[in-house]
Amino acid sequence: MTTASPTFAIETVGLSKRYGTKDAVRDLSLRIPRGEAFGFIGPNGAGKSTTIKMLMGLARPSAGEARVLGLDATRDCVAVKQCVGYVPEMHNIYRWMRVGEVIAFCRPLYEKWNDRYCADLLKLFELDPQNKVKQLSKGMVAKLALLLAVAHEPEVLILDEPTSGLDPVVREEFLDGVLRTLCERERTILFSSHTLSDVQRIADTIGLIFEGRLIDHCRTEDLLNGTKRIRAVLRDGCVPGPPPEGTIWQRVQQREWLITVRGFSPSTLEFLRTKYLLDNIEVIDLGLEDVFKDLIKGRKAAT
Amino acid sequence: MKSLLWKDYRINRLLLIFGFVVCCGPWVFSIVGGDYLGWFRYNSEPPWRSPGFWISTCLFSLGLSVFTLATLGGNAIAAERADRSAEFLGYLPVSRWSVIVSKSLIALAAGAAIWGVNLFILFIVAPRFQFSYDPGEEMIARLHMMFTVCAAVSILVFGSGWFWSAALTSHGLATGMSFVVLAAVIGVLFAVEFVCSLERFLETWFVSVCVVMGIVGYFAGCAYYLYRLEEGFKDLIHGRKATA
Repeated sequence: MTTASPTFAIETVGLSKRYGTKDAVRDLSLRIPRGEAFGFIGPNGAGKSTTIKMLMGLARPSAGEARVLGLDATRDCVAVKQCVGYVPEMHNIYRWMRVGEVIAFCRPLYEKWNDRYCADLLKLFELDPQNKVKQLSKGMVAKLALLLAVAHEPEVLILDEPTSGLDPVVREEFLDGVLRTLCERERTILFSSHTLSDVQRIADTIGLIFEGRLIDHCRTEDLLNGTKRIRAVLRDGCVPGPPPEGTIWQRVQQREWLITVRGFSPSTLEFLRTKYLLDNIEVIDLGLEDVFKDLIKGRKAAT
Repeated sequence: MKSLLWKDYRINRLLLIFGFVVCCGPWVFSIVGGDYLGWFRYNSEPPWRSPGFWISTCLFSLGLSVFTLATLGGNAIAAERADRSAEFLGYLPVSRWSVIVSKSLIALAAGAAIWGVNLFILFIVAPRFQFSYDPGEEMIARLHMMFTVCAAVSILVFGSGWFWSAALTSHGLATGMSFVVLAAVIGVLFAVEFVCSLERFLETWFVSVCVVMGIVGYFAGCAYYLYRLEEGFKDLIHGRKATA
């Protein structure tokens, strides 16, 4: 049993979830400090949404515990929801309600509700309170969901693939809304998305989950600065051997040897130059999407 | 709670209007229809002079309202699950207890209104008209028995509808299941009666079984709803066993 830790907005200890014989989340231990924007990434079925559901008290852990702002996410789920704003992938807001009715319905359920902020967001998102939810486009429903998630000024904002299926313009507007809430006051954000450019834009730290396990958790800039792809062209007759330390993925195609290295340093190049006969060697910067793909491909190849 | 009550009222608004029509319709039909179409042709006195008119109309109205109560029970939880708005409710800071209380209050209010209107007309309005004959003790006793049976059937269909509503995703199916349960209870009891010839079959056995099963269904539905999360009961048991 751990004690409540006020420094961490989100804390999981040995969190596991099993559905029948399948482990959706395995022994996940994660600490997200207050005020941090955390990008939670992983392939489909990796356990992101299950973890989020356990944090929101929507699923019971099979083992371990999840805490949000020091509160047990399962036992104190109502208190957790008071201080958390949640935007899921599917926005199942009552379709028969009008926008104004949805707001009027949610407002009394929260201890804190900022009417002025809510009105500002209505204007910013161009939401008409008279419109019925079923008349709204998918993007507008996503904006309404974001409005409902932040109007009570939560300390923690959890976004579970909120921009999935939105067109680029609406996605941009949605992200602007998220960034606005981030800037206005110090909030902790857990942002899960397959659009990694969005995650890269928002996240201070990145957590990578694969097959229910957290395989990486580091600062975004450290991950991007420290992960490079090396393109080495081998001289005729030279065969690639052991890759440099920290290699997460590699591919050889004729004489071209592509290596993605985590913890890249000049010594990595030195290693290749001294060990192999090379015609050419170059270092390529990677975006989060490429790093993610190589990490996953490397993991899959290893297993 | 006010918010939840408003939401549950809005979800059931059409059904409540239907329930109101079904409750008051027989009275309107009997008074207007009975007066103009039939009764005057064959009887020399207006229909409201006969106690039978009031009793049969009341029982007809209560009998029809069984459908309203079954649908209220069947819709209670499954309707929101069917359109997935229950998931939205799950994200909001409301306890499952308050959700249940709100839904129960709406159903209770509807049931009380249906029975209240009928009993008010029968016991307060009707005696103000001078009956052409005295209903007699036998008729009163039969009336009481019919009331008891009607109430018991209402409790059974509502309770079992509530249970199936907590367990299923389709509210139509949940409502249908409440009538399947009613048919099963009738079938089994008639079979038992045929074999054992039970004494006071209808007023004791049938009523008791209906009331007990209805109440058990309601509380089992509540317990299941309180325990159930999005993952379902089976997964929960499997999950627990797997890590035990």
